[in-house]
Amino acid sequence: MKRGYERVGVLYGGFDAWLRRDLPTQATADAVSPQTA
Amino acid sequence: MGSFGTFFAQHFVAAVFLFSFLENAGLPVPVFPVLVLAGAWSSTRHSLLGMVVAAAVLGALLADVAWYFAGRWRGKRVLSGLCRMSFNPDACLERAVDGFHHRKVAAVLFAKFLPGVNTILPPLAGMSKMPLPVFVGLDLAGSILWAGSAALLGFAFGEGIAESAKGIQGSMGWILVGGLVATIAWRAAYRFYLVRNFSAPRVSPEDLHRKMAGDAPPMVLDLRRDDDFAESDRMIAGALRVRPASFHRYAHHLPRDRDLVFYCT
Repeated sequence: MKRGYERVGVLYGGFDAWLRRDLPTQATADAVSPQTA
Repeated sequence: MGSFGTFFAQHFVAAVFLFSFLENAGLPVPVFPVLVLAGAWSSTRHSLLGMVVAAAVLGALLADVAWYFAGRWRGKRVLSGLCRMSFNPDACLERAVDGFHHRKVAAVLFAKFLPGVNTILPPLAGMSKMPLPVFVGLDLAGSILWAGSAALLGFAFGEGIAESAKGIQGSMGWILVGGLVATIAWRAAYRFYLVRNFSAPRVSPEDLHRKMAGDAPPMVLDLRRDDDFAESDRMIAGALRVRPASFHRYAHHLPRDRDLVFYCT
């Protein structure tokens, strides 16, 4: 399969794993989409 | 193995119950052909057709109700464990949950005709707190539909299948073992193909946090399901939100000269 993106990764453990490690978060109300970023 | 075929022929109602229970419990047991064969044998003793269908339905119902309670009690952990056995574990959970949410009744009714979906549906129904009487009613109907269609197929073509079965009775045990081995080998090979061609590297939370604070921070995209995103009031600081259903609109505009990291729940 031809892949256009070679620098793609997936966060191991997902958001739950991020939360368990008390890493920085922000409110979902402040979420921005790629179009408006 | 020849005696296995004889044993099966003599105790095929009990065998149907056992095979149905094992397959619906999640083991790769090819029960549909067993049902067809049992239906074929019933063509010479019509009273046994009802017993064959009842045995298959009972085996399926017992396994499904057990998984329903497992899902109700343990939730997502049960589904994640089951998905690991599917062809595509990474997409399995998302697809199963999305499919179930959109078509609950149809999902339970026809799950047994869809490989892979069948084992996921009962714990999903439990996790979603579908009322037990509703689940049992739908699962019973779906099991009767599934077992009935297979047994009737065998019953309808009874003589031809039964004659062929007599010829292979001596090696039936080997055929079943061969079928099981082939099923497992197919799943392993397909999983290998998916991982080899479509897998993406995993990034640990600590590594991602370090990279985000570095000189060339990756673009982090929150791809959680709408339900999960709405339930949570937090997301990774600095991440961008993309609804999974809308991802195709953004896909071609994502930067190719920057690392991209996706995350789900």
